[in-house]
Amino acid sequence: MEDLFMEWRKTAATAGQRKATDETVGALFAQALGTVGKDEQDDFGAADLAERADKTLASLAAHSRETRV
Amino acid sequence: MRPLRLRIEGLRSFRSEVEIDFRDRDHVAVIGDTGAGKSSILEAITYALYGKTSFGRQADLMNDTSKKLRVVLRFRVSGNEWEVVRTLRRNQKGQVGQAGAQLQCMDKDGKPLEQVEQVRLVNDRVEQLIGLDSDAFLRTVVLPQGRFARLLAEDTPSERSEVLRQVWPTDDLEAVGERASRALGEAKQTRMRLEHEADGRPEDPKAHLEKLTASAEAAEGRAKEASALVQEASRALTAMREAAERARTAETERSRLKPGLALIGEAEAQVAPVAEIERRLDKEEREIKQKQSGMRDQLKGLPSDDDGPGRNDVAEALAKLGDFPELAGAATEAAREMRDKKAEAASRREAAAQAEATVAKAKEEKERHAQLRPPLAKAKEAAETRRRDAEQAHERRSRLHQSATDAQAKATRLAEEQTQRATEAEAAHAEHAKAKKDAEAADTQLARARRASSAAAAAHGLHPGDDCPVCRRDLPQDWKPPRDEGLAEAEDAARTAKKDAQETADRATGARTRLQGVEDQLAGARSEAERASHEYRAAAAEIVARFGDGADAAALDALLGPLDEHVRKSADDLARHDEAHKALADQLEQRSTEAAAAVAEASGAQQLAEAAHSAAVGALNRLNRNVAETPSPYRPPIDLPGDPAELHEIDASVTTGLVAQAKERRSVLDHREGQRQKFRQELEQANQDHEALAQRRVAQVQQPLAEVARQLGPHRDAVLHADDALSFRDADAPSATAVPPSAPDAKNPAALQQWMQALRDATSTLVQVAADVAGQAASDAQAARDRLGEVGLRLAAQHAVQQRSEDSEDEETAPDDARTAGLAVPPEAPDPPTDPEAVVAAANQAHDDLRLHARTAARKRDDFAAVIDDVLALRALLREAEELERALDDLDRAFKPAAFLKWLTLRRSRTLLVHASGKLREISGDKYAFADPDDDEVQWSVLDKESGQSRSPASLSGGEQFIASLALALGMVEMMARSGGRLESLFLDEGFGSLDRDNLDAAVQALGTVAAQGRMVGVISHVRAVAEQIDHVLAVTRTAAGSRAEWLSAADRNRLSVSDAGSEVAAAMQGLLD
Repeated sequence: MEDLFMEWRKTAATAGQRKATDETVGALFAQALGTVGKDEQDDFGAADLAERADKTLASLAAHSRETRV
Repeated sequence: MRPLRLRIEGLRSFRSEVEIDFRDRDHVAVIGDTGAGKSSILEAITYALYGKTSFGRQADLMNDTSKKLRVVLRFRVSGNEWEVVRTLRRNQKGQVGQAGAQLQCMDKDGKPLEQVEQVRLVNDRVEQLIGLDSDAFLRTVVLPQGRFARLLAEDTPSERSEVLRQVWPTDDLEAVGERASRALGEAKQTRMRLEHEADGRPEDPKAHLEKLTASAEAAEGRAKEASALVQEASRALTAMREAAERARTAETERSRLKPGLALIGEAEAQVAPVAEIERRLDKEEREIKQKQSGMRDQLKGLPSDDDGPGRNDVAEALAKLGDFPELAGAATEAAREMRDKKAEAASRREAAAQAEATVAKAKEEKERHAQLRPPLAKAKEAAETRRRDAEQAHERRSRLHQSATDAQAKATRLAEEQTQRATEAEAAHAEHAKAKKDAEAADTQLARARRASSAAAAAHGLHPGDDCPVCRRDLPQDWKPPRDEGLAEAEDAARTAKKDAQETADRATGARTRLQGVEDQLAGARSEAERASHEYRAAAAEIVARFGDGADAAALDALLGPLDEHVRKSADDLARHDEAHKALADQLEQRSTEAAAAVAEASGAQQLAEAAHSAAVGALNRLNRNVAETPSPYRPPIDLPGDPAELHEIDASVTTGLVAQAKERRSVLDHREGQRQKFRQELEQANQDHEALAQRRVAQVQQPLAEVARQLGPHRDAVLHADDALSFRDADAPSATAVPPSAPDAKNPAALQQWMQALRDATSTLVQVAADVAGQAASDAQAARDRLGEVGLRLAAQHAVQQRSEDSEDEETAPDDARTAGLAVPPEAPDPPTDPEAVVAAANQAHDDLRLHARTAARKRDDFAAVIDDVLALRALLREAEELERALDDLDRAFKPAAFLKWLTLRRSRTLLVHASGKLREISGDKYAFADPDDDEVQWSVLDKESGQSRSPASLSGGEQFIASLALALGMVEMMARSGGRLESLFLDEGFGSLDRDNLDAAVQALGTVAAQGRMVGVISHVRAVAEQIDHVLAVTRTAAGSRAEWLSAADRNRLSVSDAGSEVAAAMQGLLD
């Protein structure tokens, strides 16, 4: 299925459907397909990214002084 | 989905319930006459699953004469077994009512794990389980008769896509799309939050931090320079103030010292006459001291009392020597009395020891006699025990003899009873054998009567010329129906014979049981008799062994007589011993009383002797103490013993000479004390004269000199103050440190005159020093004023540099700073202050401003350094979020309509046609194939390889459409087999009749290949050649009671192969009945 998907991207997908690199999208697709139907549904790392962003933003907010230029 | 078992009742021609077991059958052919009900089996499967028919209303499914329709299908899907039940009922008016449905998931023991009721819920669950709706099911799993080409030729492209989408579900892909869409939203939000936070933050945090660090260092340098200017200005101002203060101090001290020179001249004139008086008083004092020295020499010339005993020792010796004679007499008398008392006590102790020895001897005799008693008592007890044992052994032997006699009698009686019971058992057994034989004869007669009765029932209503229900031939004209007679009598006879056989069997069993019981009792009795006899013989042997030969047969009295005599003799010996022992005990008691009295007398005498000893010791101690306390050399030369027992006599005259020596010494000491008192009185008078002279010296010399010193005290303080105040003078200036800090002792006029001269010299020197200090202070003040002017110029330059730095946003482009600017004043610098105080204030203000600026720059640098890791992480996360958002956006767009899924369906259609094309060439002998479409081609066409033309499926003949549809179905199955899909069975209803032999063989072979792969293939056909090539054949026949379905055995199939299919099925069925 991953091969079919990549074939579609390379042959039939429009420019608007191919903004990211094939490697990144292909990896996400394969990863998601591998976890379908399992208890731990893959969210493509979005939650992990959000969690790490929260930590960084919280760390920045913890500094009382303004550090913007 | 794979069918396992099907039960049909009331569905079309299946009026009565029929069950078909599909287990372990992969390749199945359903054969039967036209109208026998073959297609109804597929209708039943379809209806059980979906509640629908392949042709119309579900009411049309119901048998016209049945009041209910019930279909039960057990099937397996995804490894689980399910059972679905569908029902329809006809009401009293003949109308078909609402349908009922139930679905259960069964475990391996047939217990329900899940249950669904209500038609709609069951329909939804079945679609979910199988993954196909009814339309897709009737196009892919069950191809109904005459409608097998719907997918190929009748469906529109969109309908076909829908079917294929169900066959190859895209649920997983759609789930990926949905999750990508959700994740895209979350990633977008994260990216926006990160962008918002990154807004206003430097793109390159490390470069920004380097810039802030450079600014902070530059500001810190300017602040340090300002600090140096402040310190320099402060030092210059301080120098000015100190110079002015020194000038004022010098003038003040000079004016204060000048009057002191006149005051010193007046004091010198007053001191000269006082010095003359001082010389006269010194001469008188020398004369008085000479007299005092003479008296002290007289006192020292007197002899000391240390040449012998002192006055106190002489008095003590005379007192002790007076007490000595009385104490010596008392001690001698006490020693004598003590010796008498001790002799008396020793005599008493000896008498008591003799009495105690007598008692010990008597006690020893008594104990020795007591040791003789245990052997005598033991002999008596042994005699009694032996007599008791003999009596008990005799009694036990008699009892065992009686037991053995009784057991033997019982065994004899039971042996007689055993013989009687054995006879009875043999008779009962013979009776039972006869009854059993009669019962078997009655059963044989009953079977014969029953066969006759069945034959009569089967022939009831038949007449000569009718069809034989068994052989299907006409009954001959002379045929007569068999009679039904004698069955009731045979049944009665059989019941009676069975009852008799049972009763005789019970009796034979009872007799055998009773015989067995008697045999068991007899065996027990014989065993008991043997055991009792053995015990009796053992008891008799024991008596002989213990009491001698003949004892076993002796009477009780003869056995016990000698034993009783032995018991009496041992009792007499023991009584005599006890009487002698009592006499010894009485004697011991009398001796003990006498010994106790002697011991008491010895104890009293010992106490008197000890009291006398204490008194003698006390008297001797008092005499010793008197001698020891008499001072030497008057102590009596006497040697007293340590033990009063050794004191016999003391010579009291030894003290006479000692008393005379003590009295002579006392006289010498009294004379010396008189001379000593006289010289001490004369020395006291000389001391009084010296005291009076000292008073005159104070009044006439010391007081005038002290007054002069007091008058010069303030001037002396002024000189000291000036010397201290002018201490900052040059090192080369004269010092006033030679001036004594205070006036000398007033007793010495010469010393005072010398001190006054030194005070005069110091005053003159300090006056000159004050003048020099004032001149130097004026010069220092001018130099400090010049330095302040220089600081003012540098401050102006500093201010201008700072002003330009603050005006510029870019610290790196600000002027280098005042460190390199030196004293060059930029054109824009303000005029420097001239007032010294203003210069210092301006320097302080500049320093404060620059310090604040440096702190602000350092704080900005430190604040950003504290967050730089977070800012770097923020930038990295933002890049990551942007990349993830782009990728998720691609995924989200890929699963939008008309994107990847549409492309995938077309691709699968194309792949399906590739597989189906191979099958079609195989079945058609390479005459037909499916045309290979492009990925975006939605129309299917069949390629006629002979003409080379593509044809629309709708333009094909019936046979061509059948093989093309069959190829399509097989291609689908094969494709699914490769991808692990869910099509586990395939059913074809007819269509084979339109094929020639070659195409038919190829089609059946292709189906067999599918079945060999573990999938179920069901073929409904009336074509005999189809059934010949299929493993399992289900024959469907129609009877008066409705359709029936039976699996044919190998023999049935052989017969089927050599006879006409239609008639032989009925014959085969009859054979089965036979």
